[in-house]
Amino acid sequence: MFFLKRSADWGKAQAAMGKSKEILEERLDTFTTSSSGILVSPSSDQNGEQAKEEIERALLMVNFMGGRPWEVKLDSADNPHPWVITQANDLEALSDATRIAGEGLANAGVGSRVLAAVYPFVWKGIKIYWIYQPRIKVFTPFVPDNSEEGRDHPLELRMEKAIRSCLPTSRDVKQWFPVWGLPL
Amino acid sequence: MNRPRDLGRDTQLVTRMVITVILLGIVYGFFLWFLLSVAGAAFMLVFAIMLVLFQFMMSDRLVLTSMRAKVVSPDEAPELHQTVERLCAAAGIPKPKIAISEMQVPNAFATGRSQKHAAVAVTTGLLSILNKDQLEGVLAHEISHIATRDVQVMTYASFLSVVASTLMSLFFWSSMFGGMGRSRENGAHSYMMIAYLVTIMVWVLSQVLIAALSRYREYSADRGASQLTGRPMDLAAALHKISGSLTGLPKQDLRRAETLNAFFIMPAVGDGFARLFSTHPPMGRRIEKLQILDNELRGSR
Repeated sequence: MFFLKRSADWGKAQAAMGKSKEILEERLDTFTTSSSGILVSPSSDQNGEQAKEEIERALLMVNFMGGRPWEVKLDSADNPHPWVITQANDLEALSDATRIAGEGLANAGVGSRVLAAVYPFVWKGIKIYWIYQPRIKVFTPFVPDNSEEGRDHPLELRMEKAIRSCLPTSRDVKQWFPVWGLPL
Repeated sequence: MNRPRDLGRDTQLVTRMVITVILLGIVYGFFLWFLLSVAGAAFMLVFAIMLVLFQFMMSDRLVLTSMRAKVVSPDEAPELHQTVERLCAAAGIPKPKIAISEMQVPNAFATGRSQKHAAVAVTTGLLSILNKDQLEGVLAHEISHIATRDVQVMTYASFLSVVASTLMSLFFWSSMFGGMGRSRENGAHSYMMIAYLVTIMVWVLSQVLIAALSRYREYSADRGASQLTGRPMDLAAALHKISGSLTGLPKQDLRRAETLNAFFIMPAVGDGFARLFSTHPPMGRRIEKLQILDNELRGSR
């Protein structure tokens, strides 16, 4: 089986997500939940609190730019892997916010610890997710089903097939990592 | 069960199958002409016909025995029987024998010389990894093979290839033990060498064409299964699991995986020449085609 490498770095990938709004919403009936998340890994010499403080400092600079149609904040839940939550009314603004928040984290030296940008959508009442993994620079689909840590793999396959023309996706299912317990 | 969804004919697939059969006919026609013009080859032809007929008549028993599959009653495997019964009713064929093979390798197959003497077998490995819908997809694929008489088609298609293979063995052993006219005049030796080369050429060509035909029949059975169940993506997911791809679908959370060296980009591995002899299409291509069928079905709903 051929796995073509189609990747995009952080900025281009988030921009691609913003531009796929039309296909996602009009052609695929997939609607943003108006939020996205950036999953950050703590540094090995940090505890949860220190990691959060470091990220909050980085986000201060991001939020300093006022007058934007979005909001970026640190998830307050006690979590060893902190989440940066972005909120905006439409997908383009949301992907902009995610791009800028990621760049802010990179400027603060946290960029290498960003594990994923997660975009939740709703399709026919089901929550589906696109996960951008910066280490491999591609989006992978994730659809948890009702069972414990179960996934709707046929739907994931359909998602990837439907969107691969406009998003950098991986066709290699070995890279389709789940992210359980999402705060989104 | 509802009436099967009408996906219509895949004209491209049918055209490819027809062209392959015509090419096979040309190769076989040449080979028959050649065999009948070589002294002694007519005897080989009769021997090969008997061998193939025996295999054909006994195919269900031979295959089930070789796969250590045991025919199970409705009491032993009620769900399996119910699913097959439903699918057969939809396909309009008699219910075949159902067998389970105690093998951990996930697989399923259909065998038998006719629709009335057919059998569908699944391995315990397959039953353990597929959910109900995915299993139905796989069974529908096998039922589709029976409905379109694929076992017979492939037997007829490979008939003269078996003859060529038998002749190749004969030529080989005869050359090992001083045959091929070496002890006789050089003319006879050359004559037999040509016969050997022609047989090898026919065998290789027929293998390529039979493999191509078999791949088209697989696509056709996938299409038939999609039509029977109306859910191509369940078969796609089952194929993923059977091929081992789904074992590669990570269960581990991304956060835990970061500590492992799990971020490999799979290299693009091509197997162009080997693919010529493969009887099954590449899994990715089959899944892509199933996705197209899924879109067609969704569009028709």
